[in-house]
Amino acid sequence: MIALLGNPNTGKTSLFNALTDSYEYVGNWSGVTVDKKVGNLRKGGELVDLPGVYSLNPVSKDETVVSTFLIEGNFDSLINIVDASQLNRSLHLTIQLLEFGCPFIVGLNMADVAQTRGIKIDVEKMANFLQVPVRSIVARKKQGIDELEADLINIKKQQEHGQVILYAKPLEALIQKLEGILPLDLPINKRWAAIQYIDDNPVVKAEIQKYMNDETMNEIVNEHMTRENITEEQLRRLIRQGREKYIHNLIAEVVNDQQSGEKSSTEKIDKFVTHPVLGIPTFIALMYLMFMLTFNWLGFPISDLLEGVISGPITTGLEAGLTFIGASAFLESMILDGIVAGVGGVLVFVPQIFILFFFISLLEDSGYMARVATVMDRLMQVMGLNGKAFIPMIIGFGCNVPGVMAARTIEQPRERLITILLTPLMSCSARLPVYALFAGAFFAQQQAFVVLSLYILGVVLALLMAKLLSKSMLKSEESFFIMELPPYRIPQPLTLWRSTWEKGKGFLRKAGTYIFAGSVIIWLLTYTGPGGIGVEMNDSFLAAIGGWFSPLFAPLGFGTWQASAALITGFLAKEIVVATMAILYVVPEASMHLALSEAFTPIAAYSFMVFILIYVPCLATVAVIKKETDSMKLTLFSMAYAFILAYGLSFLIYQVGTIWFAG
Amino acid sequence: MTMKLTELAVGDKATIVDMSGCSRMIQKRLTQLGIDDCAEVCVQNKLPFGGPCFIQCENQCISIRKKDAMSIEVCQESVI
Ligand SMILES: Nc1nc2c(ncn2[C@@H]2O[C@H](COP(=O)(O)OP(=O)(O)OP(=O)(O)O)[C@@H](O)[C@H]2O)c(=O)[nH]1
Ligand SMILES: [Mg+2]
Repeated sequence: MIALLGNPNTGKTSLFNALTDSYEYVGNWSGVTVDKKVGNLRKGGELVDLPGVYSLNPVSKDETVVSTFLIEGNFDSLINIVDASQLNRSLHLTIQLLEFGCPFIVGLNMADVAQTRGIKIDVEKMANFLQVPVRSIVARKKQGIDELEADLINIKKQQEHGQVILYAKPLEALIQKLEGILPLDLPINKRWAAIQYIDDNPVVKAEIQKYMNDETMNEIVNEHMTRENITEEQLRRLIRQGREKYIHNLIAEVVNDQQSGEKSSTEKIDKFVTHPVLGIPTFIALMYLMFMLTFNWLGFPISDLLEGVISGPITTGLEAGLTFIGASAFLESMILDGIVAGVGGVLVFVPQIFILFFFISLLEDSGYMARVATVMDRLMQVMGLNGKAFIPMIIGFGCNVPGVMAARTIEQPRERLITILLTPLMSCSARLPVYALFAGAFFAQQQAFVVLSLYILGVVLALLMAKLLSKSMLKSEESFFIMELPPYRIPQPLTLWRSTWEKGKGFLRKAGTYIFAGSVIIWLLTYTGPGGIGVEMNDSFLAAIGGWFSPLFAPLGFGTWQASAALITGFLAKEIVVATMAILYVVPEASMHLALSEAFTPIAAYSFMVFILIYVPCLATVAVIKKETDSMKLTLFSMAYAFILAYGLSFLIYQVGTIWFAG
Repeated sequence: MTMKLTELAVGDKATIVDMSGCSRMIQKRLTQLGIDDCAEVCVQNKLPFGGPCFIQCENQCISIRKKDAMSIEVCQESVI
């Protein structure tokens, strides 16, 4: 097994995708990959993609994954991705790998960026200096990939005992002392472990404690510090300085830097999007643009067209076909009233969902995410959160599951937890069909406005809840924020399409599995009842089940068995709400809009949409919350608070609204 | 003469003298990014209402909160 290791945002995942022909999540900010991902190399063997780290000494949770992975040692060799345009910074990690002493090669990525900046690196000299093979690559254009692949085969023949980089006297003496007392059976390089111990690496400390009581080590360090009259801080600085000296020598030998001092386009764009006054308006304008294109200007007409095709030619075609083969009434009803109505009702919204995903991918790959996080940090601080919480939230507009995962880059545990709990309030693409359906039926004139109000409601509720939760939960640690702003990169059309497709694929897959199966089951439950097969819908099993719950929802304005049935199925995946509705309100020769408007009043419809927005995260989101928080209690809490909030708010909207409009 | 990083105007360059006043996590991260004592930084932008400030160092741009920027001491070489 080979693993990819390198600084954040240097193109590790891009290389991973090129080498394994897979498609993992790529984005232009630090902390896109938050967990290890395994893929199969084209030439055989496995490749692991890891989160980016600056050092083997972790700060946040995703970084701990890497240190732990390295210490566990379940790999044969590494590829260290080094950013050629940020050589100085990247090499600190390379040195730690040299000291660690595992076989690895260096992939010098972003060679194109370095070239435009006028940085020339002599790859051969660099390989000689490091005593490690070095390859210059451009991961996202797949340049140099074949050569790197060839190197991978020879990688194992390398030395394994680690290079010794000498540090300044007082530090060097301490390293050697500690190295001497580390137990022989410690399975990692002792010199490396000693250096990391002095550098206060929590993962290494924990590992050492498994083999010995580190009391003695502590004593030695303390004694050494008093004797040499040196502080812990100074020791750490000496480690850095030692490495810096090494890097300085390397750069002097292999780099020919002729950087021009002219302003990059990144700076020009940043003048605008992070402008003290225009920053937030720019963000809101961008969101508005994305929203209008999805729902109004572009997405809506296309979806409308598609609906015409599905309910027109496709349905009549199938009908004719079924009659032709002489299908039974049961089969015909199952296919037309169940599958076509249910799955088709959801598929209609595919264009809109793809447009939304396209914009989210665009935001991810351009480099804007890090700017949003910074621009929003002040506001989020007031709410007891961190600007970085905005990244999971924006991703959450696409799908809550990766949104919840993305919260891992938030270093502070309490802020991370709150972000995880609140990301489900972001209106994901699965809820989009519900809004589109209801807004189209009840608020045709103000369709976009009504849907927009729901998105905003989600964000506002999340912010208010953040305030509430951060006030009531223990203030454990101090909040902090630091973010790198990567240079803007013009997204490549192919990458953009792949990343849109990857997201959209999930939706299509759901349509083919969950929603398909759900539609069949729901149809079956409407077709059968206590009275037998082919009963009136109102006497069906589904009516009985829904009817059992409906009194609960009556005060919210939608106490029908149909609405209750849709809500129950919606827990599996929110799109199923629409599939269910499409099956339940299927009326031949009449539009579903009409059938809906008989079942709901406009206020009840709005109340229903609000309820759908908030009521419970879908099954997949609940599962990921459980995994990320590792606490059943918090998972249950995330469901309970959402339900209570949804109930309260819908109640308020319906009751106040009814009185308001009646009077 | 030393001053706080936040006292620099946008576009000013200065050298870091002391950042031991920052919280430990920020310090750790900044050093990882190569921003340490003696590093030359440039203030690129400051957001209003005490929002984060953008600092540039060695071809990279980083944003930190004002509170942390305030505890970084810098020294501006006198222009002769
Ligand atoms: N110009 C250029 N851009 C690249 C190259 N390789 C990757 N990128 C871009 O750099 C950004 C980061 O790529 P990723 O592959 O997500 O980087 P990563 O190292 O996996 O990032 P993390 O998972 O956050 O640590 C993306 O926008 C890529 O399109 C390259 O060789 N040249
Ligand atoms: Mg990655």
